[in-house]
Amino acid sequence: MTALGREDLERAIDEPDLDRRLVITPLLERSQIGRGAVDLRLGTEFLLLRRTQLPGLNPGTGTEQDVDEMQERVVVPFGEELWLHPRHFVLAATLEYLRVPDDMSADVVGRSSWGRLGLIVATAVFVHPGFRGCLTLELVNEGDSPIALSPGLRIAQLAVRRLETPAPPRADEADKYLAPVRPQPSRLASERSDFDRLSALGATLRSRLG
Amino acid sequence: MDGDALDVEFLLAAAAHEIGSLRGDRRLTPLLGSRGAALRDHLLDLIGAVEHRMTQAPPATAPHIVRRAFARSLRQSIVMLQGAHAALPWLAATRTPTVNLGSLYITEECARILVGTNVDLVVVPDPEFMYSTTSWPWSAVVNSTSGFTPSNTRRPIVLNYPLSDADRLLLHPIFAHELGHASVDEHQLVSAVETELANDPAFTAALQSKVNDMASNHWPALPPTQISGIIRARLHSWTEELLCDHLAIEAVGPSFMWSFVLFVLPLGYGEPGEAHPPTTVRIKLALDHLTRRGWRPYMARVAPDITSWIDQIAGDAAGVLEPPFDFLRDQLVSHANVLQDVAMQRSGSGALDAHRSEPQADEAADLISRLILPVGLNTPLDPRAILLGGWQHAFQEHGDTPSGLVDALDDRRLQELVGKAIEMSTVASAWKAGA
Repeated sequence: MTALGREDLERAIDEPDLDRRLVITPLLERSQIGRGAVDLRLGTEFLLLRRTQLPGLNPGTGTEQDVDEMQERVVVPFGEELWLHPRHFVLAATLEYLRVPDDMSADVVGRSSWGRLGLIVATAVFVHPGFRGCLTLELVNEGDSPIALSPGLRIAQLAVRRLETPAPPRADEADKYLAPVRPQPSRLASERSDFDRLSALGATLRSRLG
Repeated sequence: MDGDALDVEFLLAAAAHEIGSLRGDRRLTPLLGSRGAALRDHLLDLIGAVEHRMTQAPPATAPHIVRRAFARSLRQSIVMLQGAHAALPWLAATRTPTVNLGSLYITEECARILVGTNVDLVVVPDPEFMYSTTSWPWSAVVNSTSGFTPSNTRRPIVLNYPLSDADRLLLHPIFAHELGHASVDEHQLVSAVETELANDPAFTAALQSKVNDMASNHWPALPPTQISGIIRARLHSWTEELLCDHLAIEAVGPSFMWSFVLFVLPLGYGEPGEAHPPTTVRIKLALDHLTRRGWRPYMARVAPDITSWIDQIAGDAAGVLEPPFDFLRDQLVSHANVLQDVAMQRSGSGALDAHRSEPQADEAADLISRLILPVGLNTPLDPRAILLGGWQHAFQEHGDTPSGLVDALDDRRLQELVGKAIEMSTVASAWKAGA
C-alpha cells in the first residue's frame, strides 16, 4: 500500500476515467488537497440522540427501529450553527460525497485544530475500496465548553492509500450503507444472526457441566 | 348587545389576550437570515394593525351603528389573530426546514424566476393531502386599517405540501405551479390574458353567442348578464390554473409534466371543475407549451413510451364537455399562444432552456447510474437539470411506463441522491460566485 501525497491525490481526483477516479464532490476549494490528505467539510444534516421511553440500546435485542426512534434528524442550513455541549454526541456527515475506486482505501481522521478545542471526530476511520457516499462522522465534545458546529467547516481529513491489488467489485445489494448522503444510524441490529448465534453459544457453554 | 359598551370592553380584552399570546410565543423571536422574515413582519403588521384599531374605539356617546361597526371590525381582527397562531409552526419551520435543502433551494430558485426577488418563501407540510399556496395571509386586516402603515413590503408566500410527500422530491416540481399563483397575483397575469382575449373580436363574438345559447337552452332562469358573469368567472379561474402550469414548465421544463401526471391524473381525468380545467385539457396545453419550448425531442428520447401515453391523454382533451365548459376549453385551446406568451414573458431569461439543459441532464443521469452524486464533474450543474437527470435515471431504473413513474416515487435512495446533489450544486455555485 502506498500513501498518496498532494500530487498523487490531484492526479487521482482528476483521473479522466470515471471508474478509476477518486471522486470528492463538491470540492469547494482546490486548497482542500493537502500534502498528505484532503480536508473534508461538515455537512448540513445531523442525528441527535433524544430521550425516549426505551431503556437503552442493546444491538443484540433491539431493532433498527429502536435505534431510529432514539435519534432525531436535524437539518442545519449553511450560515447556521449546531451547538455541541460538553460530553454530547452527534452523528454528522461530510459535505463531500466520496467514491473511492477499487484500488484505493482511506482513513478519516480529525483535524488537530478541532481536537485542541475538545472535539473528537471518532469516525469508523477506515474507508473501504469502492465506498460511495457521504461519510458519517461521530462527533463528541470532550472539552468543557460548548462548541459551535457550522456546515461547511473543515472538520476532518481523508488520507488515501493505493492498494497493491485492487479489491474485487462490491456486492452492492448486500451493503448496509450504500451511497448514503446523510448521517447513517448504526445498523448493528441488522447483524442479528451473529448475536443470536453468540447467545446460543453462550447458553451451550453455560450448561456444559450440567 | 352587539357593539354596546360591555361588548366593546369584552372584545378589547379578547384582542389584547390574543396579541399577548402571540407576542409571548418564542417562535416570533427574530429569525436568522431572511427566510421567514417577511412572514414574521407581516404577522407583526397584523398585530400592529389590530392594536391601531383598538385605539379607535368610539366613545360611549357614538351612534350605535358606529359602535357596532367597530365591534365587527374587532371580531374580524380576533378571528385573524387566532388564525395567526397557525403561522407560528411555519416560522419554526424556517429554522429547521421540513423538506430537504435541495427541494428548498430549487423552489426558491423557481420563486425568484416566477415571482421575483422581493419574496419570502416558507415551505411547510399541510395536514390535508394537497399542495396549496397562501400569500399575504392577513392582508384583509393589515390593508384595510386606515391610518396604519405596514412595515413589510416583501411578499410572504407559504407553500403547503402533503405531509406524506416530504421525501418525494420527484413531486416537488408541483411547487413551481403553486408559485405560479403568487406570480399571477404579483404580476396580474390573468388580466394580461383577459386583455388579449377582450381585444380579439372572435372571442367576444363567441362569448356573446355562448351566453345566448346558455340563456336559451340551458340556464333559462338566469339573466344574460349573470350568465356572462359566471362564464367570465370560470374562465378567470381556468386561465389562472393553466397559467400556473405554463409558468411551472418555464421554470422546470418536463419535470413539471411528469410530476403533474403522477399527482393529478389519479385524482381526475376529463371532468371539468369550476376552478380547474379537466386534466386532459391541462395536459394537452402543457404538452403544446413544452413542444413550443423545444422539449419534445428530449422527452421522446428519454421516455418514448411515457411521452406517447401522455400524447394519448392529451388527445382526449377534445372530448365532449357540457356547456359552458366546452366554450372555456375551446377558447383557451385556441388562445394557447396567449397563455404561452404571457408565461414566457414572465420567466424571461430565467426559463429552463432545453438545448442548454439537455447535456447537463444527460451528465447528471450518467453520474447517478455510476452512483456518483450528480453535482457536476467540472462545473456545478443547474439544479433543474439535475432534477431532469433524476427523472431520466428513474425511467431507466423503473421503466418507461406509467407504472414505472409510480415506482420511481418509492425510490427513496434516488430522491435523496438527487436532493443532495441539488443542495450541493447550489452551495458550490454560490461558493464559486464568492458568496
